[in-house]
Amino acid sequence: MARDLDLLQGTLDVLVLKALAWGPQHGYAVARWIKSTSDEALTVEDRALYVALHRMEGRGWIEAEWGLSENNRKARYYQLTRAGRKQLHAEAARWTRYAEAVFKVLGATDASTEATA
Amino acid sequence: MRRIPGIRRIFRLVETRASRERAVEDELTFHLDTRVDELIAGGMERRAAREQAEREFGDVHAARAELLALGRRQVRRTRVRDWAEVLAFDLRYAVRGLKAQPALTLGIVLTLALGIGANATMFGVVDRLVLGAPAHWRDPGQLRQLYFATGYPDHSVTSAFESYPAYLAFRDSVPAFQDVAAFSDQYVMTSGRGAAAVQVKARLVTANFLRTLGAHPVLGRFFADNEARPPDGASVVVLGYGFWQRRFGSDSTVLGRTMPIGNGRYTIIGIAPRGLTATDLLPVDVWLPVSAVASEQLVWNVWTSNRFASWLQVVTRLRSGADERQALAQVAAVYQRVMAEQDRAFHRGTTEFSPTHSLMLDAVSGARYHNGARTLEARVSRWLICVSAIVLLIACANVANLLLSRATRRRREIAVRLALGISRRRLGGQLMVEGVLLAIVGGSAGLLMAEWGSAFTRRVLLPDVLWDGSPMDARVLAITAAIVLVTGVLIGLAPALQATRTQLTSALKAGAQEGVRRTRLRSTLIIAQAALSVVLLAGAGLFARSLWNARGVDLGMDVRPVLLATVDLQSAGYNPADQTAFMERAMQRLSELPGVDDVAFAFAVPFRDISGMSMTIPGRHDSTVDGKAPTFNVVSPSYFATLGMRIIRGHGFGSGHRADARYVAVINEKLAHQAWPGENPLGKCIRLGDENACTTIVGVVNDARYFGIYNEPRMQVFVPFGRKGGGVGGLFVRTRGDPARLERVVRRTLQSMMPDLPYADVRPLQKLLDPQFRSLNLGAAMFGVFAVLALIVASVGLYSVLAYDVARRVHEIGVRMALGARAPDVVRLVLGEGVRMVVVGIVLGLVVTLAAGRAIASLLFDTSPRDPVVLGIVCLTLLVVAVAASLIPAWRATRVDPSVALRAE
Repeated sequence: MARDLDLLQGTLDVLVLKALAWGPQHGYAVARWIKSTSDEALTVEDRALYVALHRMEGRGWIEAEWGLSENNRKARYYQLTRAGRKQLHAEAARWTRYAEAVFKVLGATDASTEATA
Repeated sequence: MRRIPGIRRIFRLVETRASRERAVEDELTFHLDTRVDELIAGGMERRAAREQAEREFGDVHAARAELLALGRRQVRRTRVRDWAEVLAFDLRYAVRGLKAQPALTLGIVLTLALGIGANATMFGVVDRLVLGAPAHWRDPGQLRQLYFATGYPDHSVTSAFESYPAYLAFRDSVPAFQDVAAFSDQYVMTSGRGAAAVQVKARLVTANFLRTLGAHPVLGRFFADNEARPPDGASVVVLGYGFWQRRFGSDSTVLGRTMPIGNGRYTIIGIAPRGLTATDLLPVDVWLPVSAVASEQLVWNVWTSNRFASWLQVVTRLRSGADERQALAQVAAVYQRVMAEQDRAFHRGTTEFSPTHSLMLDAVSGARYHNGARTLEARVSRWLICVSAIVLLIACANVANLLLSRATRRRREIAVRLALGISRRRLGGQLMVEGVLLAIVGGSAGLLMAEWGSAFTRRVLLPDVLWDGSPMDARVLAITAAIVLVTGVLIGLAPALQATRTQLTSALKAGAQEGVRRTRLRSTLIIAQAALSVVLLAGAGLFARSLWNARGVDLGMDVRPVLLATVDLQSAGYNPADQTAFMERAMQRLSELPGVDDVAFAFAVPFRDISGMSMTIPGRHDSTVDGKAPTFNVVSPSYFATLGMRIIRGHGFGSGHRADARYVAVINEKLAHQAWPGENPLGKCIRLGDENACTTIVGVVNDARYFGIYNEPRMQVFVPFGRKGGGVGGLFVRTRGDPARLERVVRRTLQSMMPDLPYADVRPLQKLLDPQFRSLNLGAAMFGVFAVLALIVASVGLYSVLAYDVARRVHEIGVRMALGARAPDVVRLVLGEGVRMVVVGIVLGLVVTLAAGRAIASLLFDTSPRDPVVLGIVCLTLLVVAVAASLIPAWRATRVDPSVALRAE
C-alpha cells in the first residue's frame, strides 16, 4: 500500500469540516469522502477521525444527532453549526494562503533552474 | 426577545454516564459494521473482512476510552453552561415580574431593608460590645485576659487587676505565653495650668502593649522597652488618634515636640492607630509608659515592688499551637506562688485566715466591668440582637405573605406553564431566585439604613464608648450577606412550596377558588406577626415604664439645678490648711455670682465617692448598726440647703459650729431609726473613728439615695467642714434655672482665683447620675423603635391579606348582599376576620412574653415583667391597629355591587 501522507494536527479538522459542509454526515461517510475526494492520497486513521469529531462537537463547531443510515442502521449524524462554518472559512483561507506560498517558493526554484540552463 | 434556554435542552436527551457509553459503542459499531458489509460486498470472507476493518480503524479500545473521556469533560462543561443560562433566564424573568408591579416590589424591598438594616445595625453594635475584641486587637483568638478571684469564707471577689510584680511573674515564667502586656485603668490627668489647662484621659501601658495586640502606630513609634523600664523610664507619650486630630489638627510634625501632662513634660513619639482602646472601650487621649506611674505618684510606695497595689490589667497572647489548659495550669501555678509570698508578707506569720486565690483566662472582648462581667449596656444590646431578629422574622413573614398573594394571582399562569411541561423543580427554583433577588436588593438598601442607623445608635445611645472607623466592617458585611441569603430562601420557600403543590386541573378551571390550606398558611403568618409584635411592644412598654419609674425615684435631694465643681488642689501642691482656705474663699466668691442661690462644699460627692468611718455608740458593743457601717461626709453648713435636703429634727450646722462647737453631727432618718428606734436621737453621743470625745447629734436630715437610683438610702453621718479632711471633694453651686448656663462662669471664676490652678472640672451634678439611666434609655429607645417598625410591618401585612381576601371573595360578598346582607354585616364579616387572627396572635404573644419575662427582669427598674398596665396597653394598641388595618378592606367590601359581582363569572 502506498505510504499515506501524514496529516498535521489541525489539518484533519479542516478536512472534516469541509466534508460536513455538504450536509449532515455520519463518521463513516466522512472518512470515505476524504479518502475518495483526495484520490486516496489522504488516508485518515478512523480512530483519529472520531476523536476529532467529538472534540469539535465539544467546541460547538458541529452538533450530532442520531439518524438512520442508507443501509438502515442507527448512525450518528454530524452537522456544522454556525461557529463551525465560520471556522471552516477561516481555516480554508489559511490553508490556501499557505499552499500558495509553498507553490510560489517551489515555482521560484524552477525559474532559477531555467535561468541557469 | 432572547432565546429561551432549554428549547434545545428539551430536545436533547438527558445524558448519563451509561447513555454516553452506549452512544460511543453504537457509533463505533455502526462504523465497523458498515465497513465489514462493504468489504463483504467486495467479495471478502466475513471473518477476514472484520479483521481488516478493525485494522483500518486503529486501536478500538483506546479510541473508546478517548471518546468517553472527551464526553465526560463535555458533559461537565455543558452542565455549567446550562446552569448559568437557566440562572440568567430566571433572573431576567424575576426582574420582569417585579418591574410589572412596582408598588408591591417597593413595599417588599422597604420591608426587607428595615428588617435587614436593623439586624446589620444591631450586629455592628453587639459585635463591638459583646462578641468581638476591641479594634486593632489582631487575631483575638490567641489573646486572653487574666482575671483573678479571691475567695473569702462567705463570698468571693473577681477582679482584672494585679500588681506590677505579679505582671512580671506572668511575663517571665509562663512558657505558653508568647507575649504578656499590661494596661492601667483610665486616669484623668491635667495638661497645662491655669486658663489653658485641659483634662486628658491617660492610660499607662507596658512597652510591649501594641506588639502584643499586633497593632502598629500610624505615625512614629510606640514605646521602646527601656522607655518603660523601672524605676523612671522615659518621659515619652503616644497620642491617641482622636486627641491628635482634635488638639493638633492631625499635624504630622508634632512628633518630637513636648507637652505637659500631670507633673511632667512628655515628648511625643508616636500616634496610636485610630480607635485603639483597652477592653473597656473608653477613649484614650494619651498613652504613657507604665513607668510614668512613678512621676505622677499614682501608686503609693515603690511601684516596682509593691505587691498590694493592684492597678494593672493583664492581657496575653498565647504561643501559636499552645494548649490553653496547659497555659492556664502554668499561669495558675505562677499566680499561686506570687500570692503565697504576698500573704506571707502581709500576715507576717500570724495565724489569721488567708483567702484563697484562683486565676482565669478569658477571651478578650469589649464592654466589660473590671470584674469581667458584662456592662448593662452590653447585656441590653445582647437582647436587642434577639429583638432585631424578631423584626426580621416579621418582615420575612410579611414578604412571604405578599409574595404568596402574588403567586396566587399568578396561579393560572403557573398552571399553564406546568401544563406546558416546566418541571416543578424548575418552577420552585424560579420563585426561589425571585426571593433571593428581592433579598439582595432589600439587603443593599438595608446596608444604607444600617449606615445611618449605626451612627444614630452610637452617638445617641452609647456615647462613652469609643466608636472609630466605619460601622460597616468586614464582619458586619459578611453577616449581612448571610442574613440576605437566609432571608431570600425563607421568603422564596413559601411561594415555591405552594407552586409545586398546584393542582393543575382545578387551577386551570376559570374562577377556581383558593384552597383552604393556602388561606390557613397566610393566616398563620399573620398570627405569628401579631404575636411577635406583642412581644416587642411589651418589651418597649416594660422599658418605658422602668424609665418612668427610675425618673420618678425620689432621691431625697434635688440634684437638677446643682453644678459640681472639682479642683485638683493636691497635685497643685496645696497643703490641707491652704486647701480649706481656698474652698472657703471659693464658696464666698461663687455665692456672689448672679444666678447662684447657694454654694456648699462636701468631702465626698454623691453618686461618685464613698467614704466611711467607723462609728460607735457608747454603751453598745457592736461597732456597726444593724450589721452595716454608715457612710460619712464632711460638709459645709450650706450643704443641706444646696442639695435640697430637709432638716427634720433639730438644726443643721450654723457657721459658728466650725469654730467652737466642733463635736457635733447631723445624721439621717434611717440611722436615727436604726440606732435609736422610738427615741429622740437629738443630744445622743456617738464616737467617730478612734476619737474618745463624744460627738453630739444636733440634727436629723431626710434620707437620700446617695448612690443613685439603684440603691436604697443608707445610713449617713455628716460632720461640719473644717473639722476633718481637706480640699479634695467638690463644690456644689445651686443655680436658678438651667445650671449648664453657669458652667463657664463658675469655671472662669475658680481659675481666676489661682493662675497656677490645674484644670477645674465644672459640670451639672445630674451628669454623674446619667449613666445609671443609660441602659434603660437604650432598652426603651431600641425596643420602642423596633416595636414601631414591627407594628407598621405587621399592620401592612394584615391589610394586604384582608384586601386580597376581599378581592377574592367579591363573588361571595355579592351573593350575600343580593340575599339581603347590609353594609354593617359586610363590615363585620371582614373586620371579624382580621380581629380574630390578631386576637389569636395577641394570646400567643402574651404567653411568650410571660415566659420570657423572667429573663429580662434584671434589666428592668422597679417594674414587674408581668406589669398588667403595660401588657393591657400593648393588647389594646394591637387591637386598635388591627381594626384600623381592616377598615379599608372592609369599606371596599361594602362597595361591592352585587349585579357586577355576580356577572363577573
